[in-house]
Amino acid sequence: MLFNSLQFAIFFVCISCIYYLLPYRYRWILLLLGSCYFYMAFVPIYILILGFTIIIDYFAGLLIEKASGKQRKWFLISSLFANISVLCIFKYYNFLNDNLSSVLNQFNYDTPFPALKILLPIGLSFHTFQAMSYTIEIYRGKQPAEKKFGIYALYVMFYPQLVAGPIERPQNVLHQFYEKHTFKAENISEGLKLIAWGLFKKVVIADRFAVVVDKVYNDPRHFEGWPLIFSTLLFSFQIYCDFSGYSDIALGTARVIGFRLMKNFNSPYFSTSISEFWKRWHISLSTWFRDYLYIPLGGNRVASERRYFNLFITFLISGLWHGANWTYVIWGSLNGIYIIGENSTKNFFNKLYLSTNFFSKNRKAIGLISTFTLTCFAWIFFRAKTIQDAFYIVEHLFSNLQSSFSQLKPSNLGTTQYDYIIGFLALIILLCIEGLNSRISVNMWLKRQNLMLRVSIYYVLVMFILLFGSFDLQEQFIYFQF
Amino acid sequence: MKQLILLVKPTSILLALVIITVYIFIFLVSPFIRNESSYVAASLDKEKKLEETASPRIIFVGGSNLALGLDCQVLNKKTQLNIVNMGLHAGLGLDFMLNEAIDGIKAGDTVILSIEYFLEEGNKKLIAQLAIVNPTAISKMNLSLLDRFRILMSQLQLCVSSAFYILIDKFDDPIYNRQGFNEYGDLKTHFNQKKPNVPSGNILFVNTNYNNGVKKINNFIEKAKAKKAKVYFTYPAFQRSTYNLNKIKLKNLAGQYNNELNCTILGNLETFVLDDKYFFDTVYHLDSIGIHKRTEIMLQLMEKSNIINKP
Repeated sequence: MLFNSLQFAIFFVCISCIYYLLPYRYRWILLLLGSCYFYMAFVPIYILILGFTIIIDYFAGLLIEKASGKQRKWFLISSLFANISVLCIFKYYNFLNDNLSSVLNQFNYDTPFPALKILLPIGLSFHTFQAMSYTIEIYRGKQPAEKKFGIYALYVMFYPQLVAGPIERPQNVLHQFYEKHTFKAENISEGLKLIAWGLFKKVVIADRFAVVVDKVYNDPRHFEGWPLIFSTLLFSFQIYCDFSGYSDIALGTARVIGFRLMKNFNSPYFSTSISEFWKRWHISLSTWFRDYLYIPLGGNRVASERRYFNLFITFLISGLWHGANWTYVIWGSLNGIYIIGENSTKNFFNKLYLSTNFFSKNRKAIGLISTFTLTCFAWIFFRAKTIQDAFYIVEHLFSNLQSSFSQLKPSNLGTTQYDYIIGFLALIILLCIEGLNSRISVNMWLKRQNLMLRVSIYYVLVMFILLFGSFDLQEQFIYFQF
Repeated sequence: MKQLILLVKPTSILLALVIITVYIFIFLVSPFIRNESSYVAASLDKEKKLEETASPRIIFVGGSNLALGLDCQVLNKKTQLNIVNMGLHAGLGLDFMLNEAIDGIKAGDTVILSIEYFLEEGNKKLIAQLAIVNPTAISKMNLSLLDRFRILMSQLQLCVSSAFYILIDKFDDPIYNRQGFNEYGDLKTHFNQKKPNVPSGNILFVNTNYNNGVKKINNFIEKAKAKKAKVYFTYPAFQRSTYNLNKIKLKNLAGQYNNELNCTILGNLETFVLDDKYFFDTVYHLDSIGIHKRTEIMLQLMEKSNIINKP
């Protein structure tokens, strides 16, 4: 049940209406049943895996809280081991097995382990990490264990963020399940605005750009030069609009019923440094890795060489989180190298910027362009199906630039003139609004306007979605595969 | 209650504006921007041809594997029978393809089905395009309420895109347009065109449960037989590299056809598997040489099955 489907729209309206009609003490049951239904709409049997991890972590949480000394640590380790094992089996087993086979083949041996023909349960990486943060926070003494099993299950399974985040913290979400959410026009209005904005990004921009990106990246050897550059640029916006669009819909869906989830994106392409980019992109995941991997490894409190190592490992694992493929590992590592490079050359660039008028006046623009360029380059590895494809693209990015320009014709890239214009128009609107948002809160400005102006703006947004949205393709959200 | 009332006014105004706009586009604007020379508008010509062509005749039913896959003029010359090529676009769905044909089949007709692999549902955007030029087409499809809603949305979007193309005075696709079909229903406009990049061995069939599709084909066969027509089944032309990638799935499908289809099958799964160089722009569409090859093979199969008399 995709967020941009009619089935979800019906589901969402029904759940929201019944939610406000029910007495508040029964609402968690509705949300839990609704979340189960939502999850089972993908592959029903995988709810058993979700149920298994929920049971393990629920009891682990209680045991960690009750225990003392080394026992607490053992209960935490058991819980983390169970979660990571499920993740490894379903997500990484075949990848690890294939790599083991490749290594053993060099010595004329084969892997003793069979390949597993299993589908990756949807949202596994997300809800596993959310569950792990729960037991870790209890261990750290920052969160009491949830006594009610149903409420804990709902924390893991809450349908707005079940399959692609944001990866929430128990301190932010658990208490909300006990709050009496009364019907407020503001919640409905803010929630629907977020949903509409998310749909705009997903169906008008992301799905439109996906056609060109898929055409090139699914068979890159037919292209060189400009089509490779162009599709990489489009992918950078496709993945942003797809994922942030999903997050907006998730936040909006939750907001309608009075829940506030954490913001997952903060106009990342307006970042002027890689560090800033990672504070604005997939915020729930990057803060998860910061708090549960980078800081425990020593964080910033160690010598620079160790700090760079910690950064590299964190980003490498973050890359692996995204998928069982060496392309993701390279993408993650590349971002790690960027951050290390940025940290180690900070003083040099500070001096450079101060050295000339040009650099000091245009510092922000230079930072913005260079950050965007570096992230685009890394996206090549994220999107490419294989390492060979990724290296082909990198090698041929600037080949035959003069002759390859004509290959940018819409028909060559599987699209139309009309889609080019709509896509770019929508992208300009998006960038203008996000640019404006960094100076004034567009939402606050909107709230201060009169009714007719507000309705006119909503009308334009809704009509943009209806007239230009790609509903037919039913492109799945990119991050669903993680 | 107060909170609900706060929402009522803006929501009502917004809904009213949206509904009025949708109504204006779909019912008032769309008749003026109907593209009578679009590719799918050729369905009107094919239906007319099916109605008017005299017996005895051979009717080919399928998707664009037939439109860009047979030379019916040659078949007509060699068989001395009237040939009707109903092949248009697999994206219109299996239901439309079969129901469109069954309406026009008469006693004594020979029907040869050539259906794209695992074809069932149509593409809603394409169906919307068809619905604008051929309103009766919708009745030939089994559409759920959800499908009808999606088609309505697609029609809305088509109104805007059509208006855009009219504004920029864009000519129709040089290959895929209504005027590109000859009197037999074949498309030959691509013969002198430069070949675009043909997808080569990278299309993988995913949903390979075709029980429903086979049921629908058998349903069609029974209805055609009830009308005293003879029905045969054959395979579409298919690109070799893509065939090799999907061999197991296609062999399973062929097995299902052999066991379950209630008609004679002409040739086998590999009869029309041709080298990639004979294809134009998709894994089903043949270039001029490929069409010639397939037509020759088809003639031989028809002779072997006594559909036509040997010369």
